[in-house]
This record gives sequence, structure tokens and C-alpha cells, in this order.
Amino acid sequence: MNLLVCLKQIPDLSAGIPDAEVGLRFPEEAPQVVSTLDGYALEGAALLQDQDPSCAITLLSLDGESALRDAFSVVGEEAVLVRAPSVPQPDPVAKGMLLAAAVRELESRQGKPFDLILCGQQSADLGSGLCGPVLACQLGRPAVGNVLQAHWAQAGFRFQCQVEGGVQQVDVDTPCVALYTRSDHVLRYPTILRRMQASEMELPVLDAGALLQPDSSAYQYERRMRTIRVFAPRQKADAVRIRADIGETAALELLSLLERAKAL
Amino acid sequence: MEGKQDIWVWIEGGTGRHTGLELITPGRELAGQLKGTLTAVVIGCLVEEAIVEAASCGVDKIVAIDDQAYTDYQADRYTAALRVLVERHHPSAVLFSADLQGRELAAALSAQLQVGLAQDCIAIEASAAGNLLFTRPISGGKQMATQMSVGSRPQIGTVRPGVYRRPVPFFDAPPPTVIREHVPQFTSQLRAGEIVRTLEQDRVDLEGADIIVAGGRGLGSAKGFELLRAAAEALGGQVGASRAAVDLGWISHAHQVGQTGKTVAPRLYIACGISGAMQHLAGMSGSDVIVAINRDPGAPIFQVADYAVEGDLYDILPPLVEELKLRKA
Repeated sequence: MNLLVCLKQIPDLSAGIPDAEVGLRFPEEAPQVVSTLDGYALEGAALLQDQDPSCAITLLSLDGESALRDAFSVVGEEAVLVRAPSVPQPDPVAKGMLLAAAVRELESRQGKPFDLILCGQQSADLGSGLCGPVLACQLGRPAVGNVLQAHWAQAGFRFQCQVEGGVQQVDVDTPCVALYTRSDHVLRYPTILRRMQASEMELPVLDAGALLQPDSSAYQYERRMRTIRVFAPRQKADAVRIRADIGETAALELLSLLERAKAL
Repeated sequence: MEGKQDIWVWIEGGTGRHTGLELITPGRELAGQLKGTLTAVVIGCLVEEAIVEAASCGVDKIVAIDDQAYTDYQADRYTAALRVLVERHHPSAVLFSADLQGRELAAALSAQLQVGLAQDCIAIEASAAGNLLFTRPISGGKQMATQMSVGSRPQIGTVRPGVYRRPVPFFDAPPPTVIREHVPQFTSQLRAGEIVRTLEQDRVDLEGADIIVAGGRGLGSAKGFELLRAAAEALGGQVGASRAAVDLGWISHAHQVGQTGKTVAPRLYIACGISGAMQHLAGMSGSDVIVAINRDPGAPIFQVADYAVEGDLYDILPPLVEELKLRKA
């Protein structure tokens, strides 16, 4: 079994400094982390490796050196850093195309496709949820969404997927792409040895931009959905405070206020 | 933008839920501003009910695929069909509800068409130049972003459930043009099995709830959720939870509100013993009215609350529930 996990590096949102104008500002030295749902994808790969220890895991990230090293300190046999200087500020569609170009290159070098590509359903910062589906589409592989867990099942994979009202089993032949959502399987801890290896290892770098066709629509990101303004959410006026010295009094006061506000 | 603009809203055809009808509300307004048309698009099997509901809400057109092949939702098959419809009819925008199916379908369609996508929007407006402006939370809800697509079409967006209300059906609505489409068969590569339904007590529709009573670590134990269930029942609402309470095993993940749970926008959100971590706020800050009950006067949840009750929730909730029961009786 040959797995690839795609990871996005984002600033640690809890390190953001509140800002009245744009909502949050990140200092230059803000810590970088692996996007939350990519962490679940990484754990998903680790669980598959637990099932089959002969399974190999490759980690891939576009401009996410720190995320790659953090992820490698948990699990993985190989980590590859993708760069694309010819595509500055790519949108999610362009990112998916760049990752797909990198995957094709890696598969060409290893002489076979990855059985499964795992990534988070959406990133914790911008959350378009588009990169994974574009990656799958560009590679011509089926994408399975809202994945909670995966099991290897002979010629393919069996996924447990979150659906409205429950969990559904979905079987797919390889090769395929799994888009992970939150589950009970949180990312395991790194080991000290792997952390040392991750900090010292030399990361191979792949220029995915050089792999694109000159007329690739990855370059047309300015025509697609783009952010024209970032601003702070509307601030609420100070809350009406009720000090509950006597619970019953506070409860009645709250009910009265909610009724007057027509909230009930 | 030149030419008549056709705004499409995706209506879920199966299961009787027909999510997406609430998007007729903003769709109608946008079509009016852009001097265009509003179309409901439905794919499924036996979709007459969805067609009738959409028609009664006042759409100009309905594009429908009604075929046994679409009895059960399969992402790749539905996306392939929707893509054919979009390429035939050239809508300027397609709007989906940001529920599980809508988010998946919107992303898959955007990927195939290589257009952008604005997920989980809380507002959509039309610019003077005729483009749609999508406003959505990012960075865990700590920032808002306005996004726009200048060149590529269609403009695709998903809308947070609860932001818009379903329009009141009016029975003298002018009958829409109904276009029944057939598309080439697509063989799905996803072999879907049975859905294992969540247990009755876990069957919770937080996204559709008008009132949510949510509990966090401050409840102290799983038993606290019994009190919250009583409060929710008295209010006609649903029970939610913070990630902390779910991680402690006090309640199932189905009830979780937050960045890695459900995003909700009820009329009233009562947060009990929830400190207000950013990840939780990201999932509930769109609520109309927020009540926070917490012993800690410095709890971050008080910064987003409309009503901040400083005290022990076990002193406040029981008399609140009793009073609500009395008023009901």
C-alpha cells in the first residue's frame, strides 16, 4: 500500500492578535501548524499503516516546510516540499493543480500511482474545501468526502463517511482520494526520535510550476473567485449583564429580557 | 455583466428535506437586482414534491432531472449530471446550502468547472458591475472576507444554514417554466452501502434548530446534559455541546458546535458552562441572540454574548426550566 498525505501549513489561529480593522493580525514570527483536518488525514494514514506495516506514507505540502517537518515527526517515510515560484499567490484551484502536477511527477518517478491520497476536507484558515476535489479531478480519480475512517479492503478501500443522520460505508477501488473530516481519531503524538529526524532531514523540493503546461488554467487565478476585502466581524454592543446572586431571580430576569427582545 | 443573468439554487430532491428552499429568498433579490431570472435545480427520483415546493416559493424556472438512477445521492454521479445542466444552460451563479451534501457538491462542481468557490457565506449581494459579492467568515470566524469572481462563470457559493429563512409559499405564485432534463448515464465509482443511523438521542438537527441550549466543560459531568435536555425541551430547541464536552465523552459528536463540528445560526443560542474558545465561537457566533451562563466573569464567551449571566448554571437553569414549564401549562 502506497499512501500520500497532502498537508496545508497555516498560521496558528490562536496566536493571532485581535485587530479592529481586519479582525486578526499575525506577527511575522507567528507559529505555523498543520491545518486541523489535514491532521485527521495524517492520522488516517497512520491508522492504515497500523493495519499494514508494509504500507509507505509520503507527505506532500505546497510551501509548508514547517508543517512537513511537524507531520514527519509523527509518521511517514518520505516528505516532499512543493514550490511554485511561477504561480505567486495561487488560488485553491491553482493549488490543486500544482499538487496534482507534483503527484504525477512523484508517481512517474516511483513507476506506480499512490493507492490513496489523503487530505483534509477543507483548511482551517480559508476553508474553501476546493483544493482536494481539484486534485482528485486533475488526476482523474474518484474523491470520497466526509471521511471518518478508512480500511484497506483487497482491491480498494472501505471508507466510513459522515452523512446526514448517520455514517455510511463507501467502497472505492484504487487509486482514489479521501477528504477527511473530524472524527474520534485525533492525531497521535510525535516521538522524540522522529522529531529529531524531522528537524535534521533535508527536504527534497519539487518545482510544480515548471511541470505545468504554459497555457494551464492554474495561471488564470485572477479571473476566479478571489478575496477583495478582509475585515473584522461586526462587534456586538456590550452584553446585558445579569449577576445571579439568587438563581431564581436571575432566571426570571433573563426570561423577561428574552421575551422583550422577542428571542423566545 | 451583459446578458440576462440566471441565478440557480440547488434544491435537494430526496428525503423530504428539500434543503435549499431558503436560498430562494436571497436568489429572488439577486435576480431582481441583476434584472435576471431565478431557477431552482433539482436532481433525484420522484422529485415532484420538491418541484411543487420550489414553484410555490416563486421561482421563474425549474430545471429537473427525475430518474431512478438518482434515487440515492452519490457525489460523483450527481456532480456529473449537474455539470451537464450547467454547461447546457449557462447560469451565472449556482447557490447551495452549506450542509454536508451542498458543500461536497459545490466543491466537486467547482473543481470540474475550474471556477472558484465561496463556502459557508453569510451574505450575498450584487455589485454595481453585476458580479456577486460573497461574504463569509474565515480564520475560525475571527475575520470576514468578501469574495468575488470577475471573469469565470458560474459563480458558485454555499450559504450557511439558518442565515436565510424559507420564503412563505404563496399559492397564486405565477407557475414557473419546468424543464425536465435527461443526461447521459454516468457510472459512479463510489459503491455506497447502508447508512448506519445515529441513535435516536443523537439524531439532532442543529443546523435547522431555532433554539439551541449548549453545554461545555463547566457542566462538570455528563449528568449536566440531562438539565440541558430539559431546558431544550421546554424551549422547543435542540441540545448542543462544545468540543470539550464531546472530548470528555459526555455527549456525542453529533451535538458538537464549532469549527470541527456544526456551524449554526439559530434565533437563540444559550451557552451553559462554555468558556468561548475561538473554535467554538466560529460555529455559533452567527446566532441572532446569544445568552452565556458562566461562573467566570472573564469568560471569552461574554464578549460575543447579548446577555451575560454570571453565576452557577445549576442555580439558574432549574428555575428557568420550571418557569418555562409553568408558562407552557
